[in-house]
Amino acid sequence: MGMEETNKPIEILLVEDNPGDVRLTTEAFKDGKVHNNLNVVGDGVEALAFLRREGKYSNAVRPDLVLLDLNLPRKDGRQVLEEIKADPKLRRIPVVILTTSQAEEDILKAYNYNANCYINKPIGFDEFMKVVQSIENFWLTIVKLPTE
Amino acid sequence: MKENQAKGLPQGEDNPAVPRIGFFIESLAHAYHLPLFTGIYDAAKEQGAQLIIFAGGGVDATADYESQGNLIYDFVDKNNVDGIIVFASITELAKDLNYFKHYHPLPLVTVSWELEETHCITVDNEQGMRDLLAHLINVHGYKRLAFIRGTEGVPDAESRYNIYVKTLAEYGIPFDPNLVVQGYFGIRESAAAGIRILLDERKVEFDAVVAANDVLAVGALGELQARGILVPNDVALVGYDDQYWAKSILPSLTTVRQPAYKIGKQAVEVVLALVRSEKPPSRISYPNEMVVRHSCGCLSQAVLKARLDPPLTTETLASGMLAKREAIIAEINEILSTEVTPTTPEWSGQLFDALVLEIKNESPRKFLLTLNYIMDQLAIIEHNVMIWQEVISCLRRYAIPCIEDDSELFRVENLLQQGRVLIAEVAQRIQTSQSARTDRQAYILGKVSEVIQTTFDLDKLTRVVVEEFPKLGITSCYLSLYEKEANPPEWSRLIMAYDESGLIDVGETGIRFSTRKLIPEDLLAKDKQYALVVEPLYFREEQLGLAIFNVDPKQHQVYESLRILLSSAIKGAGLVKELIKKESELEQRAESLIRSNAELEQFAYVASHDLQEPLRMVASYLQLLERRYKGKLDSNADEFIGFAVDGAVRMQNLINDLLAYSRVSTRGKPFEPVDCSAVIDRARANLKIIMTEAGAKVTNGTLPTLIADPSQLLQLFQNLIANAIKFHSDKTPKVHIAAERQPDGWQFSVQDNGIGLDMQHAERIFQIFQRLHSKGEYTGTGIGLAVCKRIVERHNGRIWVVSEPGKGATFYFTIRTEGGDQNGHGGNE
Repeated sequence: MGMEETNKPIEILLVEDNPGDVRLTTEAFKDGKVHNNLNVVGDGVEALAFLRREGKYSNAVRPDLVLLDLNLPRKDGRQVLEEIKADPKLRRIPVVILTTSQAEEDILKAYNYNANCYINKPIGFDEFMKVVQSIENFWLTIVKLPTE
Repeated sequence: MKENQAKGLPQGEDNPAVPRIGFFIESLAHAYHLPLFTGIYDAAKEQGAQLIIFAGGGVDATADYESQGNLIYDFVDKNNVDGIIVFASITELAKDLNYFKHYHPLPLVTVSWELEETHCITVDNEQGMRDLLAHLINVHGYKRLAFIRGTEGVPDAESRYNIYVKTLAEYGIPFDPNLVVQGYFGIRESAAAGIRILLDERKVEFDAVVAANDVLAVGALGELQARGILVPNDVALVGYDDQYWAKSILPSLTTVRQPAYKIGKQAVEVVLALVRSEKPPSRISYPNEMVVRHSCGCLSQAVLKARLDPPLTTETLASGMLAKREAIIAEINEILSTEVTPTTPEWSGQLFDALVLEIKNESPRKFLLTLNYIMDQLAIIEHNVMIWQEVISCLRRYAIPCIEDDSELFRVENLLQQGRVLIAEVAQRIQTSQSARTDRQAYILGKVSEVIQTTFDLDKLTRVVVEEFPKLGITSCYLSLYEKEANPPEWSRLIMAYDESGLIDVGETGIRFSTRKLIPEDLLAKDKQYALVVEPLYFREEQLGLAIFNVDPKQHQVYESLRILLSSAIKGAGLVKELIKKESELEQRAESLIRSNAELEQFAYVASHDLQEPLRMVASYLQLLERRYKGKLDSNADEFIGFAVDGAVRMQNLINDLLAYSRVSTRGKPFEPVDCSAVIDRARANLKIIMTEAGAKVTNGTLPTLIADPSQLLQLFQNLIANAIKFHSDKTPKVHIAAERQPDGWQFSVQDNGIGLDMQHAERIFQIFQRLHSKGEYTGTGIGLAVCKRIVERHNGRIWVVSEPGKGATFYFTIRTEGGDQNGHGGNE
């Protein structure tokens, strides 16, 4: 899925319950260089349903990248991560943990569950912009990912 | 009750069925008081009165905590007694005896001491003392009589001395002050010292020593004997009081006897007369009697009385005896009245008649059988039967002169001799059984004290009391504890009680009752005769409660022992209970500490996550606002947004610092060996940027390896070094780290050549968010040194600074290597 080849937008799944962060991320990606499509779900159960195309998500696209918050209603982000990485069909999708938690045990746990990277939500939009740009730059431009 | 009705007294609660007599005595344990106590006990029994003994110690007692027992005297009032007998031995000072006046208008009888407005039964000291001195002067022809005085200021001591002076004058013997020495009642050694003064200092000669009481006489005897001076051959010796042991010492002591038993009985009669609103004489005085024994040089009186006058008459034996029947019986009764013996008045007549019948051959063996019967009666109550030897002597004195022929003489002598043997046998038997009982009592008491002293539980203690006390002859016992330490404690709780009919149910929490009732109402029959002793339970200054026992003169010495035992056991149980309570409180506190620690961790979590969330929103959207609308708003708006964003960023830093601070203890790692040099190297590496910026030089001396939390130690050094560089002066920053061995660990120093600080701020800089400088001068939240302090404290050390403005600062901290928190607090999330 080379970015350069087609104009097909990059599909991103944002798992985030805070509308403020959702909007902030949306705005940041809007300002981004890469043509992308941001799909948003508000909790862990929805996230897994989206990924597995269950229920109302039967027509959902397979995301190229998951941005996952850790503290989520209904199903915790840590468990969502665990299930994604345990699922043979989903485990190759890169999962970027985007959270406020600076707790070392959260960081350790996330990598133990094979998170692809762990990023602290920075304070201020400028910093946030830098983070989003870095994600775009690295995960969506530099990194070579399997097609399916 | 009948008597009350007869006198027409109003009937009511204050007029109990049976009159109740309160008897105040410091302790029942002293054998010296036994005759008086027995007299009161016997009289109360004969008169059907209830006797409640308050053994509350001496009112002016200075010994240990004895006066603590006085509290029970405060409980005495018309609710529990109808009349009071106070034995003056309870105090040695007349002014303290006045204390008892406040029981007015309750009938009050004082024994052996005169007190205004009360009825008194006193002893005429004079007669006995005068007889004693006259005996030494007249019978023995002694003129130089040394005198050992009693305690100064005590009336008995003064009066005995005055009689001595007066009697010498009466006999025309010059008074020689060199023959008088000072002694102290109750202190033997004071008399021995007196003898030494007489013989060694004053070098006076004397024929006899008159001691103001028996104890002093024994003291003098010891000193005389030690010097090889024989009593009575070289020097005669007399005492006063006729203590129970006076007849048993060698030589037996010539002394003066107080008719204590008679006085006791008389006291009961007087107080009961007062209760019945009669008017008994307010002053009754008993003369003291001289008791002549061996220490003055005489043969004992018993020996003297066995002597016979030659026959004066030729009347036949039986008729001669019968002619003097009344006189002989009167004499026998007189002999018997001197002893503590509740004799039946008919006995003397019965014995006399039996002897006459036997002499007449009308009833063989009648005399011995009658004597045997009397002996048996006395043996049961264990009274001293030896006085009956004197009765035999009396009978013999009258019988022998009437005897005409030898065969009759032989028969009568034989009969009387058999009587003497019988009496001696019974006396022996009583003594054996007494000593056997004393042994048994001592054994049981020993066992009971062992059990009680190892019982630290009140429930178990009461069970022990119920099981063991009856073995000591205590047939009823009431144990109560005061409710509060009020003075006097108005309320008590009966925690254990038993009587002749068995254990009394006091329920789970005991029976609450007004302390003045002594025993909860209805537990004691109002119409029954009984004798109880109230023993105060106290431990040093602490008042605990009351122990009440039924009392029997035969075991007069156990009650005080039990009081002491129970007091310490109850106090012990209380202490153990308190300890258990404290322990559980401590446990609770530990639990709540754990809880609050958990809450603190929860707070840290909240601070790190939830608190940052809204903050991030504020900052982010402000910046988004700025980004999207820059130039579209005016320049003020841009500046405002700038301040707002800066504030949000700083607040987040504060939150992060707070979190770091709380994590020192909540997220510490286990302790392990750490090489401090390696730690400094890492710190240097981490601080490379600021070191380069400031051109700082960080050096260190030889540093040890110690047991610590490695990441915290790094943080500690890093913070201190960074701090040292940050507050540099215009000189090139130099930081030197050194370590010094201490007895229980290491002391580190981090020295710089920076701006230094005023020592008045030396404490403040280690407090969280305390800054000495404005934000404009130096950046930072002021967390660095606070974190250092927490890390050092977690390693059982302390941190401080020594500095002077402009002369650099040296930070010191210690790390304890022994007894420290070797395990550390592991991160437990």
